Amino acid sequence: MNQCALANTTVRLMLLQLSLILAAGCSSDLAENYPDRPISIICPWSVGGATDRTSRQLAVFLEQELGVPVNVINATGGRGVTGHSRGLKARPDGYTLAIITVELNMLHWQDLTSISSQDTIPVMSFVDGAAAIFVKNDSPFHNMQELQAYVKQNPGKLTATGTASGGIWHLSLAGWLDFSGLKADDIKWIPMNGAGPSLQELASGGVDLVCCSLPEAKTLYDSGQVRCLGVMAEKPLPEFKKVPTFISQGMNWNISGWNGLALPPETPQPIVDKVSNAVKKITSGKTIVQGKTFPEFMRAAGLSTRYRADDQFALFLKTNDETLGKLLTSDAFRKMSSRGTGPLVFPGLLAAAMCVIFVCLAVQKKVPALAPDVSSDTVTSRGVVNTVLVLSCVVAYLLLAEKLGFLLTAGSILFLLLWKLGTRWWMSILITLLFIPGIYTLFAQLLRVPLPRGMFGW
Amino acid sequence: MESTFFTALQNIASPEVMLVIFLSAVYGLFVGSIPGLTATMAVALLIPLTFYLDNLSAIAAIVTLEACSIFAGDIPTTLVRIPGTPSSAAYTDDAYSLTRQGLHETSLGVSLVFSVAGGLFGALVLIFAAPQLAKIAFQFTTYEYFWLYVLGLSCAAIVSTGSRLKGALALMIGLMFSTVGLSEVHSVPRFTFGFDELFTGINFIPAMIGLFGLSEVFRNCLTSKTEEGTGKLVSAVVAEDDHSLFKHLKPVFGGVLPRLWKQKMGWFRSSCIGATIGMIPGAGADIAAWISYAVSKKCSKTPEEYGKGSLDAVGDATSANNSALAGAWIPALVLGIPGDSVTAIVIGVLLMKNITPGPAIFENPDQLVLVHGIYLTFIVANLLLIPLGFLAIRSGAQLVRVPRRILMPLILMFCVVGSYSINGSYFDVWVMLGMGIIGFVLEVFAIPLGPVVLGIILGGQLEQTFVQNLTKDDSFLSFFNRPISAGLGIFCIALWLVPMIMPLLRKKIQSTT
Repeated sequence: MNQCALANTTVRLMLLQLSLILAAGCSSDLAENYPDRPISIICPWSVGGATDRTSRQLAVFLEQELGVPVNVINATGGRGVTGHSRGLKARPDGYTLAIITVELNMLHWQDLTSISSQDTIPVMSFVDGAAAIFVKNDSPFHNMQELQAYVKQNPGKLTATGTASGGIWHLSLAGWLDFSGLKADDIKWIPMNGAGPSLQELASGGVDLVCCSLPEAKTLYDSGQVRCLGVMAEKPLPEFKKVPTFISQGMNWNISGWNGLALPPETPQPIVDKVSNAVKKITSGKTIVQGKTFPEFMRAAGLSTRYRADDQFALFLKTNDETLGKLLTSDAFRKMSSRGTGPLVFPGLLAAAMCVIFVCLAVQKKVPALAPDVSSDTVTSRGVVNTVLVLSCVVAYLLLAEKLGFLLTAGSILFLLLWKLGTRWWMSILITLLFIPGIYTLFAQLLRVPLPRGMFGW
Repeated sequence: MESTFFTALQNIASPEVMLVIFLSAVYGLFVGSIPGLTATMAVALLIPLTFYLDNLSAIAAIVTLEACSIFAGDIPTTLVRIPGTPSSAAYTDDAYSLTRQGLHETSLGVSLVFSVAGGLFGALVLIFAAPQLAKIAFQFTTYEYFWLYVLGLSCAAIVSTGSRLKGALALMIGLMFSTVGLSEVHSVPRFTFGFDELFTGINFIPAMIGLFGLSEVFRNCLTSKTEEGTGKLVSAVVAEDDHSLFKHLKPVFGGVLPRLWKQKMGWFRSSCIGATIGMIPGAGADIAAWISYAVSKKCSKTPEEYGKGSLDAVGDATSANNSALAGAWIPALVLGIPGDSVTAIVIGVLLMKNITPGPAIFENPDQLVLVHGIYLTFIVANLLLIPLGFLAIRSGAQLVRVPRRILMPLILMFCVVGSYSINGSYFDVWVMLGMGIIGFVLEVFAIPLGPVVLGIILGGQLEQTFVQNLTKDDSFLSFFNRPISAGLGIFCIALWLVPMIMPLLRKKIQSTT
């Protein structure tokens, strides 16, 4: 084990040295000129949510501060695994920034990914959204004590939702139950993807409770369609002063979801400093876009914030990781996550249905009914060659684009295909020269899709 | 009421707002017609700009963008068989068959006029019935959603051309694909084979581009003979020597208005279906398009044409998906619950502008002006779509004149870049490639592709609601506990059982008589 780790470190060091040597020629001006091309921010959650809103606000301000376009990419799904690993495993050149959220400190405890907050260079934390409990306006519960007493009397009767099983809001509720001396599954958790659908379910009477952050429920809360029993924060939130905290109701239980900005590990220090200074300027309200500062924008969006920079953020990440780890590895939580309809039930049902259909098809003898336009009459040997060529071109693009860049790879592929499919060579060159820069301008410049740039930087 | 309406009218008639609407319409048409770029993405790109715009312009830009890009999705669907938006997948086969017959401009003309008509209908529903109808959103719990998804999927399988069994098989294949990745409800990775990228599951946009677009490239390459490869399609409607002023208008709009009149019932029915389904959060234009397609086929006098180039099908389905757009704004404005991903962004923008969507905005006079402004924008945007859409069709139609040997490599380029751009990930391009091969094989076996796409889109939600229902109550009977869920459930089951039982019944009646 030790040897393995040692070898690992050595390899890492060697790689680092190698990259340093390789980069030495251009690295000094690399950091100095940073940034000289567009920057991408990887947001692990979908468009419209609180984290996406934060990322997009930040992008606008960074653009002003750094002077290059800053694009947001929503790499969603997999409960944040996809986005976090993409952001943190990106090339550490400062052109990919990662938005990290509380899930970074949870996923590795749940064995869903290997990356953790150790694999980041934390820059700044933004949103800090304390969990809160919501009920429908006609609910019999008016404060947490009533709820606690009811759950004690009727374990397993109430249903709650807010996010997927094992998500942060689930954890908050289960943690509170555990804290109150109840069992974590005394309130049934209905897994749902996101606070939006959960609140709609609550308003339709499909569940009894929703646990999510206050900003997420702002619209329904403001219009009085849902009530908030309490927020799991130390102090009442400035945007929602009327909502009592758990502490004021005699329960010393706080937990919150957060998001922040981080850089992939091994990003050169000068670049880290540049980004960090820019972000500090933004969060301290010195950068003004359209007459408003970043904190003002965040307040307007109803997002509670807590700005922690560099080391402070790193310290917070560490303690937060420990707290969440303790909860997630506790027996109460482990036991609960493994009940209910299993993950293979639905695919199993589908497979069964497919078998039935195959049997029916076999009985009806309809399987061999082929489409008329692809048959031995119409397929030519030249056609087969061309099809294989098309296939290999796509594969070639996938393998080479990152190294050679979009323009070179796509250009050669387009030319080859045009030529092989029967266009004259000079015509093929003309079309290629016309279209490839055209597509590049369209996607990379106008629509802000970061097309692969390759080793030449274009 | 009236005074705020006139204020809104004045506001929207200002040159700045009109300019914003015009530019967003052009942008929307442009983005919508590029496969892989969705209306949601286009709106997300617009967010930073909304900081610089006043409230009305910001929202007007989003409304216009959305309305235009969903129509523009029909352009690549018709011309190169790559659905621009998932809701176009319902009538891809019809629209593309029409292109093969040289009727692409007629098909797009029908798309355009019915889109506008459907969009206007949706706008009227939004204007006159929003507060009354919004409560529908609160009738839907996981039980109702489950049956709604089943209904949408069943429609897709049943209406697809060819045998119903093959439609069902296609549906199952699509649903199977949707189970790949980290299951949202269980947080357990399934069928990921250790690839981190597969945790997200299979994104339906690259899948759609692969299934329809790339497989078409394969088929063309495989079956092309050199002489045929240079052949091009010519518009079947216009004679080459026609030099009259209407030369350009005729292929697109010729005969469309009489058709709209003839098909007014179909249009009305589809628009109602669209607006109703759009209103339900989580169900959107794609389900609306499929269900109205199915209903339209059922009511049609010529159901055998469906799937082989039926203009009725294109018209009905396209008016449904456009009227669903306005429907999605109803719960967003009245209740603050997003009806789809675009309205989710809208709520974010409104919050940033210190406006909290919900019943209160109908009481605050300042904000009511904005609401009326949104209504008017829907109407203006749809009307603006007629001339701009016409131009887009005419310029897009030049594509089919390009020889296939040049067109196919270019389509391939767009397949690759389009599937990459949705998430900026190479993995999506691999998915697109795999799906292209699968799509080609499925077509060889005459298995329809539409249900596969809808299966991938709705599979995740179907499973979620299924598991949620079973978590709430272990018994299957609970699926029928609520009035709407019971109604929907019985309808879905009947949809599958009746065609199986009918022949038996008929036989019995014959034997008795």
